[in-house]
Formats: sequence, C-alpha cells, structure tokens
Amino acid sequence: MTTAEQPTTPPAAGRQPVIQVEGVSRWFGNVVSVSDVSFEVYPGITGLLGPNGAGKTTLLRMITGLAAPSEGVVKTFGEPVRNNPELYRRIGVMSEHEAVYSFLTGREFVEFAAKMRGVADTREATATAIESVGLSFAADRKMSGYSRGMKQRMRLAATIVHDPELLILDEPLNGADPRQRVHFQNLLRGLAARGRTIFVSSHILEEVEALAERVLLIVNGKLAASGDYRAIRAALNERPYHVRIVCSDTRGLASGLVKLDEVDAVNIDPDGALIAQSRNVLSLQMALPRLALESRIRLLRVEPLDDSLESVFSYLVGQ
Amino acid sequence: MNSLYVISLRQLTGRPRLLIIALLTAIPILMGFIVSITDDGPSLSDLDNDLIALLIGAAVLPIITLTVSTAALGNDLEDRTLSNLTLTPAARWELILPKLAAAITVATPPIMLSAIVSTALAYEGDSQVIASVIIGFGLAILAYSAVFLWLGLATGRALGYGLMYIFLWEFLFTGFVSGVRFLSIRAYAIGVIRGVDDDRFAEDANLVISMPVSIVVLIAIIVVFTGLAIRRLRTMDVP
Repeated sequence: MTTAEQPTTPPAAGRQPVIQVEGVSRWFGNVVSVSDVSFEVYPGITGLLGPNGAGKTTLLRMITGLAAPSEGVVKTFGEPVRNNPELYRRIGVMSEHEAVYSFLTGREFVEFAAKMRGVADTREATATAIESVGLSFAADRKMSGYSRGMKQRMRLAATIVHDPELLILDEPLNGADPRQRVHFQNLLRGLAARGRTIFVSSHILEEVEALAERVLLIVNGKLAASGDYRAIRAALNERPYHVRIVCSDTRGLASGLVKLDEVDAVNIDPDGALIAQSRNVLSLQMALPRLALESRIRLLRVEPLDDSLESVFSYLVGQ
Repeated sequence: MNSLYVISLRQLTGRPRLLIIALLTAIPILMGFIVSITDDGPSLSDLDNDLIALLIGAAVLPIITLTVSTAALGNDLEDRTLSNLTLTPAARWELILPKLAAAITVATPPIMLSAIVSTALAYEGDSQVIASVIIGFGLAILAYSAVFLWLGLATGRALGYGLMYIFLWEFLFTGFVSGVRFLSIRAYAIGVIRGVDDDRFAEDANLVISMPVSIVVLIAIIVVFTGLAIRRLRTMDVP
C-alpha cells in the first residue's frame, strides 16, 4: 500500500492527472475537516473511501468547486475548478443529497440538466441518458413518486447527460437495492472503459472494492493511504480480530483457548467476559464450539468486536 | 436561461405561497371597497397615507415581494438543489437574472392587481392616481425583489430578517422619522408616485423625495443588489 505522502501511481507514464489536489485543507472555525491532503486522479475508476464524518464530502465539494479550500490548490484538467463554470462542460457531479425538483418528471429533470449544460440535442441526449440508467419506463412520472433508488438513478442520468469526461459521485449507491447496485456498477465500468475518469466516494469498503481499481483512504480528514484496493484488502485479511465470549466457566475456557493455534491472546474484560484475539477468525469459529463441548462449558454469547468500519479504518491507519 | 426561468416559475408558484399572496392581495381591495361604499369616508390625504403609503407600500408590496424573492434562491439553498445550477457552465449572472425575472413575474401581478383595484375603488377611478401607483410600485417591486433575492442567498433566515426590516424599518421607523426616508425603498416609490401625480401626498410634500432622485436611486438599488447576489453566488460555498 502506498502512503498518504505519495501520489497515486499514474496508470500510464506521461498521462496528465485529471484531478490534482495539492496540500488542501479545509476548516470550519476550530474544526479541521480536511487536513493537508494531496493526491492525483487519472482516467479509470478511483474510489474515495472513509467512514462517515471522515471528510469525504468536504473534499469532494472542494474538488467540484462547490466549496473553497482554506488552504491548498485543487485543479481539474489542469485548471482551477473554483469560479470556472466552463469546466462543467467536461465534468458531471452527483452530490450525496437527493437534490431533485419533485414537481418535475424524470424526463423534465434530465432535460433541464441537458439544457443547463448546453447540450445540442437535448431530447436525444435525455432519452439516451435515461435509457442508460434503465428508467425509461418511469421517465414521464413525477419524481415525487420515485423511490430513493430511482431518484439516485435519475440523478445519475442528469449527471451523465452531457457525456462528461470526468464523473464525481458522492455515495452514489445510497438507497439502491442490490439489483440497482449491479446496474450502477456495470454502467460506471462501461463509462470507465470508454476512457472516462470516475471518482466515487463511499463508506463501504466492499462497494469501492467492487468498482475501483485505485482507492484513496481518508480518515479524520487526512489521507491515510492510497493505492490498489487489493493492498487494502490484504491488510484487512491480516488484521487481528477480537471476539468477546461470555460463558459458564470463564477461566476454564481461557486456559483452553490459549492452547489453540488460532488464538494470539486472551484477556478477561472488567465484565468478566473473555476477549480472544485471533488472526484466523474463521478457524476460531470452528475451534471454539469444539473446545467448549470438550470442556463441558456452556457458551452464552459470542460476538465480534471489530466489525465496525471505524475499527477497520483505525487498523489500516495504524499500519 | 429560459429553462431556468420556467423551472423557477414553477418553484415559486406552489399552492401555500399563492394562498398567502392571495390573502395579502385581498386586503387593500377590501379596504378600497369599504371606502367606496362609505358615505363619510376618509380624506384623500388619509387615503394617500393609509392605503397607498402604509397598507400597500409598507406592507402588502414588500411582504409579497419578500415571500417570493427570498424563495427564488432560498428554496434552492434549503433543498440543496442550488448545486444543480452552479455545477453547470452557466455564468453566475445567467443564474441570477432568470431567478430575479421569475420572482418579479410572480410578485408583480398580485401586487398590481391589489394596487390598481383598491385605488380605483377608493379614488373613484382616478386614472392619474392609478398610473402613478403602477409606475411607483412597479419600480418598488423591482427594487425589493433585487434586495430580497440577495437576502435569500445571503442568509438562511431571510424571511425573518426581511419581515423585521419591513415592519421595523419600512413600516414604523421611516413612517415616524422623516430623516431616514432616504434609506427607505418605500420613500422612493412614494417619490415616483408624487412625481407622476402631484396631487398625491400633497400635504407631506416636504417628506417626499423628488422623482428623478427616486428613479435613479431605485435603479441603483436594483443594479447594486443584483450585483451583490451575483457576487455572493460566485464566492459562497454551495451546500
């Protein structure tokens, strides 16, 4: 995995970055939301990963020009994006909010987006964009009656209606059902295959993993890591898991657990529960019931302590 | 620009807002009607002050304009659809002008209807007073719209601040303290009305600002606040 100080390796030497972020910080009063972040994004799909509140949206808002950095420079296609409306002919942005005009039909909404972006044949472009998100059947219905997933898809249609070279998507899969997610992912992969640059944020590792070749990991407003998603996945698989066990004989089970190869350490927490640390949690899952049965100990509760995304990120940041 | 104007018109003509506007529109008409059927009605001077200067000029006109113009961009800020506009190649003035035009389009008919019908009833169809009210209040609508459009972009509490401004400043303060009339849009509107129909506000002539000055200042207000709105949209962080 590359470190925060190193820019993401360009996929091909000599290529110009589509997005350049140089020493960017943003603070609100005394609260630092984004701190000295630098990276470059090249064509293909790049994921911006981080837990809720990590600063992803603030960073994306600065990249899209919606917000000004307190410090640092953001460039898109080599130009400052802030107060440079002409650049939006080449950029499509989908924010995390469900910002739609509910009194419009889906078709009117996408057509409005096309007109605002100066598309020549708005009808044709609108129909194509709506078809690409699979919503032609609902195009003439008011958006107030759409599900959240349908709104998201229609917003994506409005985002791509002018066929932008760069797509910036903030949590685009929020509210989408599994089928819609697959459709979304296929659509984005198709756009990337046509040479488009796609920068997509999410707080769900699996989501980014399924989409992006490269990942930027942001935690507490800082770029914690960047690089190939496989490196992040590998680091995740190596991390120790903690399992909390409540049973009828804590000390008896503890003495049995320390003898297992799967267990790295065993502690007893203040509540009297066992905390077992393991790097091979799948094996532990098999060994624990067997050990309890052999020792005639009743397992009352077994729960993982590390499944929250924050704990995953904390681990990665610590590496 | 045209499509933004059309969308903005649809945004601004929601049923609750139209209901408030209709109620406000009816008040001066009702007053004009009562005056027209009353034998022992108020003097022309009282009508000038109470109907034109206070009820329409200091209440109905600014409140309707406030309701519409603060929403013209305030709604986009509140429901976070403003980014749909700013993330386009349109120059900022190309966003502000259609919004301003839509606000004026929605606010003008009810205000003019209210002003024309009520003055026609109260002043027994005097065409001079009707013409003066159309010109004076027409310019006032433009000026208030520009001010309140900017206010809607500058703060999330535009409606509250706008109402405070209307009641405390335009309605109360400038009504009692003559020296501050130079800081009142209503005073300039009255200056135009007086310029077109010199019978109006005859007894308060020393309080009335001359018509050329009034027109210049009202136009300056429109230009300055439209410019401020464009600047604000250019420099603000869009949610």
